[in-house]
Amino acid sequence: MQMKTLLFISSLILLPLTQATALDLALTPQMRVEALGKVDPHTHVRTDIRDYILAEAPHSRLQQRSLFQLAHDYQSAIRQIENEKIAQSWALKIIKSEFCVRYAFGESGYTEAAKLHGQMLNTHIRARIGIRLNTYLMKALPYTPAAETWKKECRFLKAGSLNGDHS
Amino acid sequence: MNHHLRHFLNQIFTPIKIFLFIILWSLLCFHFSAHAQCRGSGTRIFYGNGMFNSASDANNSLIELEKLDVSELESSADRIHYDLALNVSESSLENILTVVEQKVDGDLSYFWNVMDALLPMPDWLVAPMMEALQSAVDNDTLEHMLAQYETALSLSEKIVLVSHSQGNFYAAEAIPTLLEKYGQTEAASLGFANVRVGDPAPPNAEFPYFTFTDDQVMDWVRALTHAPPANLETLGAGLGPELDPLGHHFIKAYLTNDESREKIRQAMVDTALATAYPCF
Repeated sequence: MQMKTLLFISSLILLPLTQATALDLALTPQMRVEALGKVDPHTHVRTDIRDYILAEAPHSRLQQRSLFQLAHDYQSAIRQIENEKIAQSWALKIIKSEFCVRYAFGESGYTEAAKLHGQMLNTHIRARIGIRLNTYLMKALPYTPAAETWKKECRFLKAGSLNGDHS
Repeated sequence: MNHHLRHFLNQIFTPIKIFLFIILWSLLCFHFSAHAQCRGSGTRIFYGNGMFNSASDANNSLIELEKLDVSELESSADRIHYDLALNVSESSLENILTVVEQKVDGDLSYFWNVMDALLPMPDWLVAPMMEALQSAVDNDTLEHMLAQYETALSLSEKIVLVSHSQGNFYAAEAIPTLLEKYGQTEAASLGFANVRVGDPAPPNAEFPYFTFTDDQVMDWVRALTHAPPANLETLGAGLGPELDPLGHHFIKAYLTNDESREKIRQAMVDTALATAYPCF
Protein backbone atom coordinates (compact mmCIF):
# COMPACT_ATOMS: atom_id res chain seq x y z
CA MET A 1 0.00 0.00 0.00
CA GLN A 2 2.81 2.35 0.93
CA MET A 3 4.62 1.51 -2.28
CA LYS A 4 1.50 2.28 -4.33
CA THR A 5 1.15 5.64 -2.61
CA LEU A 6 4.80 6.36 -3.30
CA LEU A 7 4.40 5.44 -6.99
CA PHE A 8 1.30 7.60 -7.27
CA ILE A 9 3.09 10.60 -5.75
CA SER A 10 6.13 9.97 -8.00
CA SER A 11 3.90 9.88 -11.07
CA LEU A 12 2.34 13.20 -10.09
CA ILE A 13 5.81 14.70 -9.87
CA LEU A 14 7.11 13.09 -13.07
CA LEU A 15 4.03 13.63 -15.26
CA PRO A 16 4.61 17.35 -15.88
CA LEU A 17 8.27 16.56 -16.75
CA THR A 18 7.18 13.95 -19.28
CA GLN A 19 4.73 16.34 -20.87
CA ALA A 20 7.41 19.02 -21.05
CA THR A 21 9.65 16.68 -23.05
CA ALA A 22 6.81 15.70 -25.39
CA LEU A 23 6.02 19.33 -26.13
CA ASP A 24 9.56 20.26 -27.19
CA LEU A 25 8.31 20.79 -30.74
CA ALA A 26 5.34 22.93 -29.72
CA LEU A 27 4.16 24.89 -32.74
CA THR A 28 2.75 28.38 -32.81
CA PRO A 29 -0.55 28.68 -34.76
CA GLN A 30 1.40 30.28 -37.62
CA MET A 31 3.93 27.42 -37.67
CA ARG A 32 1.08 24.89 -37.67
CA VAL A 33 -0.56 26.58 -40.65
CA GLU A 34 2.81 26.67 -42.42
CA ALA A 35 3.48 23.00 -41.70
CA LEU A 36 0.07 21.85 -42.93
CA GLY A 37 0.05 24.07 -46.03
CA LYS A 38 -2.92 24.60 -48.33
CA VAL A 39 -4.93 21.38 -48.38
CA ASP A 40 -6.93 20.16 -51.36
CA PRO A 41 -10.48 19.34 -50.10
CA HIS A 42 -10.89 16.44 -52.53
CA THR A 43 -7.70 14.53 -51.87
CA HIS A 44 -7.03 15.80 -48.31
CA VAL A 45 -3.37 16.38 -49.08
CA ARG A 46 -1.50 19.63 -49.82
CA THR A 47 -2.18 21.11 -53.23
CA ASP A 48 1.53 21.04 -54.14
CA ILE A 49 1.61 17.34 -53.20
CA ARG A 50 -1.54 16.68 -55.24
CA ASP A 51 0.15 18.26 -58.26
CA TYR A 52 3.37 16.35 -57.58
CA ILE A 53 1.55 12.99 -57.41
CA LEU A 54 -0.44 13.62 -60.58
CA ALA A 55 2.78 14.52 -62.39
CA GLU A 56 4.72 11.58 -60.92
CA ALA A 57 2.17 8.92 -61.86
CA PRO A 58 0.11 10.44 -64.69
CA HIS A 59 -1.04 7.16 -66.25
CA SER A 60 -1.88 4.87 -63.33
CA ARG A 61 -4.70 5.48 -60.88
CA LEU A 62 -3.37 2.64 -58.73
CA GLN A 63 -0.01 4.35 -58.38
CA GLN A 64 -1.66 7.71 -57.74
CA ARG A 65 -3.84 6.23 -55.02
CA SER A 66 -0.88 4.58 -53.32
CA LEU A 67 0.95 7.91 -53.23
CA PHE A 68 -2.15 9.76 -52.03
CA GLN A 69 -2.53 7.27 -49.18
CA LEU A 70 1.11 7.75 -48.16
CA ALA A 71 0.81 11.55 -48.44
CA HIS A 72 -2.37 11.49 -46.35
CA ASP A 73 -0.57 9.58 -43.58
CA TYR A 74 2.30 12.09 -43.62
CA GLN A 75 -0.18 14.98 -43.53
CA SER A 76 -1.97 13.43 -40.55
CA ALA A 77 1.32 12.80 -38.72
CA ILE A 78 2.33 16.43 -39.28
CA ARG A 79 -1.07 17.63 -38.03
CA GLN A 80 -0.74 15.57 -34.84
CA ILE A 81 2.96 16.09 -34.19
CA GLU A 82 2.35 17.64 -30.77
CA ASN A 83 0.49 14.54 -29.61
CA GLU A 84 3.21 11.92 -29.48
CA LYS A 85 0.98 8.85 -29.30
CA ILE A 86 -1.26 9.87 -32.21
CA ALA A 87 1.66 11.08 -34.35
CA GLN A 88 3.43 7.81 -33.60
CA SER A 89 0.44 5.79 -34.82
CA TRP A 90 0.38 7.81 -38.07
CA ALA A 91 4.14 7.30 -38.47
CA LEU A 92 3.57 3.55 -38.20
CA LYS A 93 0.90 3.86 -40.89
CA ILE A 94 3.45 5.67 -43.06
CA ILE A 95 5.72 2.61 -42.90
CA LYS A 96 2.89 0.34 -44.00
CA SER A 97 1.71 2.76 -46.68
CA GLU A 98 5.23 2.68 -48.14
CA PHE A 99 4.71 -1.03 -48.72
CA CYS A 100 1.59 -0.12 -50.66
CA VAL A 101 3.63 2.21 -52.86
CA ARG A 102 5.97 -0.71 -53.51
CA TYR A 103 2.96 -2.84 -54.32
CA ALA A 104 1.73 -0.26 -56.85
CA PHE A 105 5.11 0.63 -58.38
CA GLY A 106 7.05 -2.63 -58.05
CA GLU A 107 10.83 -2.40 -57.66
CA SER A 108 10.89 1.38 -58.06
CA GLY A 109 8.51 1.72 -55.10
CA TYR A 110 11.37 2.34 -52.65
CA THR A 111 12.48 5.31 -54.72
CA GLU A 112 8.95 6.66 -55.23
CA ALA A 113 8.23 6.50 -51.49
CA ALA A 114 11.56 8.21 -50.70
CA LYS A 115 10.88 10.96 -53.24
CA LEU A 116 7.45 11.66 -51.75
CA HIS A 117 9.04 11.67 -48.27
CA GLY A 118 11.33 14.48 -49.48
CA GLN A 119 8.39 16.41 -50.96
CA MET A 120 6.26 16.10 -47.81
CA LEU A 121 9.04 17.40 -45.52
CA ASN A 122 10.30 20.17 -47.79
CA THR A 123 10.35 23.19 -45.46
CA HIS A 124 12.16 24.11 -42.25
CA ILE A 125 9.30 23.20 -39.92
CA ARG A 126 8.22 20.12 -41.89
CA ALA A 127 11.79 18.78 -41.95
CA ARG A 128 12.05 19.15 -38.18
CA ILE A 129 8.71 17.41 -37.78
CA GLY A 130 10.09 14.57 -39.95
CA ILE A 131 13.12 14.20 -37.69
CA ARG A 132 10.85 14.13 -34.64
CA LEU A 133 8.67 11.43 -36.22
CA ASN A 134 11.76 9.23 -36.44
CA THR A 135 12.35 9.70 -32.72
CA TYR A 136 8.74 8.79 -31.96
CA LEU A 137 9.18 5.66 -34.03
CA MET A 138 12.31 4.62 -32.13
CA LYS A 139 10.12 4.06 -29.09
CA ALA A 140 7.41 2.20 -30.95
CA LEU A 141 8.61 0.73 -34.21
CA PRO A 142 7.95 -2.98 -34.31
CA TYR A 143 9.72 -4.62 -37.21
CA THR A 144 7.19 -4.73 -40.03
CA PRO A 145 8.17 -7.41 -42.52
CA ALA A 146 6.88 -7.28 -46.07
CA ALA A 147 4.25 -9.96 -46.35
CA GLU A 148 0.89 -10.74 -47.86
CA THR A 149 -0.74 -9.48 -44.68
CA TRP A 150 0.33 -5.87 -45.23
CA LYS A 151 -1.86 -5.60 -48.30
CA LYS A 152 -4.82 -5.11 -45.98
CA GLU A 153 -3.14 -1.83 -45.03
CA CYS A 154 -3.51 -0.61 -48.62
CA ARG A 155 -6.71 1.30 -48.04
CA PHE A 156 -6.80 2.51 -51.65
CA LEU A 157 -7.37 -1.06 -52.83
CA LYS A 158 -10.80 -0.94 -51.24
CA ALA A 159 -11.63 2.30 -53.05
CA GLY A 160 -11.09 0.90 -56.51
CA SER A 161 -10.74 -2.28 -58.46
CA LEU A 162 -7.32 -3.85 -58.69
CA ASN A 163 -7.93 -4.93 -62.25
CA GLY A 164 -7.85 -2.34 -64.93
CA ASP A 165 -6.32 0.33 -62.76
CA HIS A 166 -3.01 0.25 -64.61
CA SER A 167 -4.59 2.28 -67.37
CA MET B 1 30.25 -62.31 14.25
CA ASN B 2 30.71 -61.42 10.66
CA HIS B 3 26.95 -61.23 10.22
CA HIS B 4 26.65 -58.79 13.10
CA LEU B 5 29.49 -56.71 11.75
CA ARG B 6 27.89 -56.60 8.30
CA HIS B 7 24.53 -55.64 9.82
CA PHE B 8 26.26 -52.95 11.87
CA LEU B 9 28.07 -51.55 8.84
CA ASN B 10 24.86 -51.62 6.79
CA GLN B 11 23.07 -49.65 9.47
CA ILE B 12 25.79 -47.01 9.28
CA PHE B 13 26.35 -46.87 5.52
CA THR B 14 22.82 -47.21 4.15
CA PRO B 15 21.76 -43.70 5.17
CA ILE B 16 25.05 -42.40 3.76
CA LYS B 17 24.42 -44.27 0.48
CA ILE B 18 20.92 -42.81 0.27
CA PHE B 19 22.28 -39.36 1.01
CA LEU B 20 24.97 -39.71 -1.65
CA PHE B 21 22.41 -41.04 -4.12
CA ILE B 22 20.19 -37.98 -3.52
CA ILE B 23 23.15 -35.64 -3.98
CA LEU B 24 24.23 -37.33 -7.22
CA TRP B 25 20.66 -37.35 -8.56
CA SER B 26 20.28 -33.63 -7.77
CA LEU B 27 23.53 -32.84 -9.54
CA LEU B 28 22.45 -34.81 -12.59
CA CYS B 29 19.07 -33.07 -12.69
CA PHE B 30 20.72 -29.68 -12.37
CA HIS B 31 23.18 -30.56 -15.13
CA PHE B 32 20.43 -31.57 -17.54
CA SER B 33 18.18 -28.62 -16.76
CA ALA B 34 21.11 -26.23 -17.25
CA HIS B 35 21.93 -27.99 -20.50
CA ALA B 36 18.30 -27.65 -21.66
CA GLN B 37 18.31 -23.94 -20.83
CA CYS B 38 21.55 -23.49 -22.80
CA ARG B 39 19.82 -24.68 -25.94
CA GLY B 40 18.35 -21.21 -25.86
CA SER B 41 15.04 -20.11 -27.24
CA GLY B 42 16.30 -18.98 -30.65
CA THR B 43 18.29 -16.32 -32.48
CA ARG B 44 17.28 -12.66 -32.72
CA ILE B 45 18.77 -10.77 -35.66
CA PHE B 46 18.95 -7.02 -35.12
CA TYR B 47 19.65 -4.40 -37.78
CA GLY B 48 21.42 -1.31 -36.42
CA ASN B 49 21.05 1.47 -39.00
CA GLY B 50 23.36 4.35 -39.79
CA MET B 51 22.53 8.03 -39.41
CA PHE B 52 21.66 8.44 -43.08
CA ASN B 53 18.60 6.21 -42.69
CA SER B 54 15.04 7.17 -41.83
CA ALA B 55 12.97 4.77 -39.71
CA SER B 56 11.25 3.55 -42.89
CA ASP B 57 14.59 3.02 -44.58
CA ALA B 58 15.85 1.06 -41.57
CA ASN B 59 12.74 -1.11 -41.66
CA ASN B 60 13.25 -1.69 -45.39
CA SER B 61 16.86 -2.68 -44.71
CA LEU B 62 15.72 -5.32 -42.25
CA ILE B 63 13.17 -6.60 -44.78
CA GLU B 64 16.02 -7.07 -47.27
CA LEU B 65 18.23 -8.63 -44.59
CA GLU B 66 15.48 -11.14 -43.82
CA LYS B 67 15.72 -12.36 -47.42
CA LEU B 68 19.22 -13.74 -46.74
CA ASP B 69 19.15 -17.48 -46.10
CA VAL B 70 20.37 -18.07 -42.56
CA SER B 71 18.34 -21.23 -41.99
CA GLU B 72 21.52 -23.04 -40.86
CA LEU B 73 21.31 -21.09 -37.62
CA GLU B 74 18.34 -22.84 -36.10
CA SER B 75 16.46 -26.12 -36.36
CA SER B 76 13.31 -24.31 -37.45
CA ALA B 77 12.51 -20.93 -38.98
CA ASP B 78 10.25 -19.91 -36.10
CA ARG B 79 13.31 -19.82 -33.82
CA ILE B 80 14.76 -16.93 -35.86
CA HIS B 81 13.38 -13.48 -35.04
CA TYR B 82 14.12 -10.07 -36.55
CA ASP B 83 14.18 -6.68 -34.86
CA LEU B 84 15.38 -3.11 -35.35
CA ALA B 85 17.97 -1.37 -33.21
CA LEU B 86 16.87 2.01 -34.47
CA ASN B 87 19.32 4.89 -34.42
CA VAL B 88 17.50 8.16 -35.02
CA SER B 89 20.31 10.63 -34.15
CA GLU B 90 17.85 13.50 -33.84
CA SER B 91 20.40 16.05 -32.63
CA SER B 92 22.91 15.14 -35.38
CA LEU B 93 20.27 15.43 -38.08
CA GLU B 94 19.11 18.77 -36.67
CA ASN B 95 22.69 20.07 -36.86
CA ILE B 96 23.05 18.93 -40.47
CA LEU B 97 19.69 20.41 -41.34
CA THR B 98 20.91 23.78 -40.04
CA VAL B 99 23.90 23.58 -42.40
CA VAL B 100 21.66 22.61 -45.32
CA GLU B 101 19.26 25.48 -44.63
CA GLN B 102 22.14 27.92 -44.95
CA LYS B 103 23.07 26.51 -48.36
CA VAL B 104 19.70 25.61 -49.85
CA ASP B 105 17.18 28.38 -50.14
CA GLY B 106 13.66 27.15 -49.44
CA ASP B 107 13.12 23.65 -50.79
CA LEU B 108 14.47 21.11 -48.31
CA SER B 109 13.36 18.06 -50.30
CA TYR B 110 16.98 18.18 -51.49
CA PHE B 111 18.14 17.35 -47.94
CA TRP B 112 15.94 14.25 -47.74
CA ASN B 113 16.91 13.12 -51.23
CA VAL B 114 20.59 13.22 -50.23
CA MET B 115 19.75 11.34 -47.00
CA ASP B 116 17.89 8.69 -48.99
CA ALA B 117 20.81 8.33 -51.46
CA LEU B 118 18.65 9.61 -54.33
CA LEU B 119 21.10 12.45 -54.96
CA PRO B 120 24.89 12.59 -54.56
CA MET B 121 26.24 14.35 -51.52
CA PRO B 122 27.51 17.87 -52.29
CA ASP B 123 31.06 18.75 -51.22
CA TRP B 124 29.90 21.32 -48.68
CA LEU B 125 27.89 18.68 -46.81
CA VAL B 126 30.75 16.20 -46.42
CA ALA B 127 32.49 17.82 -43.42
CA PRO B 128 29.35 18.33 -41.28
CA MET B 129 28.17 14.84 -42.18
CA MET B 130 31.46 13.30 -41.07
CA GLU B 131 31.42 15.35 -37.89
CA ALA B 132 27.94 14.07 -37.13
CA LEU B 133 28.85 10.50 -38.06
CA GLN B 134 31.69 10.29 -35.56
CA SER B 135 29.97 12.33 -32.85
CA ALA B 136 29.34 10.66 -29.52
CA VAL B 137 26.44 8.27 -29.48
CA ASP B 138 23.11 9.58 -28.25
CA ASN B 139 22.48 8.27 -24.71
CA ASP B 140 18.70 7.86 -25.04
CA THR B 141 19.14 5.86 -28.23
CA LEU B 142 21.88 3.70 -26.69
CA GLU B 143 19.80 3.00 -23.58
CA HIS B 144 16.85 2.00 -25.74
CA MET B 145 19.07 -0.40 -27.68
CA LEU B 146 20.58 -1.86 -24.49
CA ALA B 147 17.09 -2.54 -23.15
CA GLN B 148 16.21 -4.37 -26.39
CA TYR B 149 19.39 -6.50 -26.20
CA GLU B 150 18.86 -7.32 -22.53
CA THR B 151 15.30 -8.42 -23.22
CA ALA B 152 16.57 -10.82 -25.89
CA LEU B 153 19.32 -12.14 -23.60
CA SER B 154 16.83 -12.63 -20.76
CA LEU B 155 14.74 -14.76 -23.14
CA SER B 156 17.84 -16.90 -23.82
CA GLU B 157 17.96 -15.62 -27.38
CA LYS B 158 21.29 -15.43 -29.12
CA ILE B 159 21.80 -11.98 -30.70
CA VAL B 160 23.18 -11.31 -34.17
CA LEU B 161 23.55 -7.57 -34.68
CA VAL B 162 24.15 -6.47 -38.27
CA SER B 163 25.28 -2.88 -37.87
CA HIS B 164 25.76 -0.38 -40.66
CA SER B 165 27.74 2.88 -40.74
CA GLN B 166 27.13 4.91 -37.56
CA GLY B 167 25.20 1.93 -36.17
CA ASN B 168 28.66 0.41 -35.60
CA PHE B 169 29.54 3.13 -33.09
CA TYR B 170 26.42 2.14 -31.16
CA ALA B 171 27.46 -1.52 -31.34
CA ALA B 172 30.95 -0.59 -30.14
CA GLU B 173 29.40 1.12 -27.08
CA ALA B 174 26.67 -1.42 -26.36
CA ILE B 175 28.72 -4.63 -26.40
CA PRO B 176 31.34 -3.65 -23.73
CA THR B 177 28.51 -2.30 -21.54
CA LEU B 178 26.72 -5.65 -21.71
CA LEU B 179 29.94 -7.62 -21.19
CA GLU B 180 30.64 -5.70 -18.01
CA LYS B 181 27.08 -6.04 -16.77
CA TYR B 182 26.97 -9.81 -17.32
CA GLY B 183 30.56 -10.41 -16.14
CA GLN B 184 31.75 -11.80 -19.48
CA THR B 185 34.94 -11.11 -21.38
CA GLU B 186 33.92 -12.16 -24.90
CA ALA B 187 30.82 -11.31 -26.88
CA ALA B 188 30.57 -14.94 -28.07
CA SER B 189 30.22 -16.21 -24.50
CA LEU B 190 27.66 -13.49 -23.77
CA GLY B 191 25.50 -14.69 -26.68
CA PHE B 192 26.18 -11.66 -28.87
CA ALA B 193 27.49 -11.72 -32.45
CA ASN B 194 28.14 -8.59 -34.48
CA VAL B 195 28.59 -8.25 -38.25
CA ARG B 196 29.79 -4.78 -39.20
CA VAL B 197 29.00 -3.22 -42.58
CA GLY B 198 30.51 0.02 -43.93
CA ASP B 199 32.35 0.15 -40.63
CA PRO B 200 33.75 3.46 -39.34
CA ALA B 201 34.33 2.18 -35.77
CA PRO B 202 37.80 1.21 -34.48
CA PRO B 203 38.75 -2.35 -35.53
CA ASN B 204 37.78 -5.27 -33.26
CA ALA B 205 39.18 -8.68 -34.18
CA GLU B 206 36.18 -10.44 -32.64
CA PHE B 207 33.77 -9.08 -35.24
CA PRO B 208 33.88 -9.47 -39.04
CA TYR B 209 33.41 -6.30 -41.07
CA PHE B 210 32.83 -5.49 -44.74
CA THR B 211 33.70 -2.25 -46.51
CA PHE B 212 33.93 -1.48 -50.22
CA THR B 213 37.09 0.10 -51.60
CA ASP B 214 34.88 2.68 -53.34
CA ASP B 215 32.70 3.41 -50.29
CA GLN B 216 33.13 7.16 -50.46
CA VAL B 217 31.63 7.84 -47.05
CA MET B 218 34.18 5.47 -45.53
CA ASP B 219 37.00 7.24 -47.40
CA TRP B 220 35.93 10.50 -45.81
CA VAL B 221 35.56 8.90 -42.37
CA ARG B 222 38.91 7.10 -42.58
CA ALA B 223 40.65 10.44 -42.94
CA LEU B 224 39.26 11.37 -39.49
CA THR B 225 39.06 8.11 -37.50
CA HIS B 226 40.83 4.76 -37.08
CA ALA B 227 38.29 2.98 -39.24
CA PRO B 228 39.52 -0.35 -40.65
CA PRO B 229 40.65 -0.52 -44.30
CA ALA B 230 38.39 -1.65 -47.14
CA ASN B 231 38.29 -5.44 -47.51
CA LEU B 232 35.86 -6.27 -50.34
CA GLU B 233 37.22 -7.06 -53.79
CA THR B 234 34.37 -5.80 -55.96
CA LEU B 235 33.00 -2.27 -56.21
CA GLY B 236 29.80 -1.12 -54.50
CA ALA B 237 28.98 2.25 -56.07
CA GLY B 238 26.74 2.60 -59.09
CA LEU B 239 24.52 4.99 -60.98
CA GLY B 240 20.76 4.60 -61.25
CA PRO B 241 17.79 4.93 -58.90
CA GLU B 242 18.30 1.53 -57.29
CA LEU B 243 22.06 2.01 -56.73
CA ASP B 244 24.10 4.31 -54.51
CA PRO B 245 26.65 6.62 -56.17
CA LEU B 246 28.54 6.76 -52.84
CA GLY B 247 28.74 2.96 -52.49
CA HIS B 248 27.65 3.16 -48.85
CA HIS B 249 23.88 2.57 -48.63
CA PHE B 250 22.99 -0.71 -46.91
CA ILE B 251 20.43 -1.86 -49.48
CA LYS B 252 21.57 -0.04 -52.62
CA ALA B 253 25.24 -0.95 -52.20
CA TYR B 254 25.96 -3.68 -49.62
CA LEU B 255 22.90 -5.89 -50.22
CA THR B 256 22.85 -5.29 -53.97
CA ASN B 257 26.45 -6.35 -54.66
CA ASP B 258 26.73 -10.18 -54.89
CA GLU B 259 30.06 -10.41 -53.06
CA SER B 260 29.12 -8.29 -50.06
CA ARG B 261 25.62 -9.79 -49.76
CA GLU B 262 27.01 -13.34 -49.63
CA LYS B 263 29.83 -12.39 -47.25
CA ILE B 264 27.40 -10.66 -44.89
CA ARG B 265 25.13 -13.72 -44.97
CA GLN B 266 28.00 -16.12 -44.35
CA ALA B 267 29.38 -13.97 -41.53
CA MET B 268 25.96 -13.89 -39.87
CA VAL B 269 25.85 -17.69 -39.94
CA ASP B 270 29.49 -18.26 -38.91
CA THR B 271 29.54 -15.79 -36.03
CA ALA B 272 26.17 -16.88 -34.73
CA LEU B 273 27.15 -20.57 -34.78
CA ALA B 274 30.33 -19.70 -32.86
CA THR B 275 28.24 -17.86 -30.26
CA ALA B 276 26.77 -19.49 -27.16
CA TYR B 277 23.15 -19.19 -26.19
CA PRO B 278 22.86 -16.83 -23.25
CA CYS B 279 22.36 -18.91 -20.08
CA PHE B 280 22.51 -16.62 -17.09
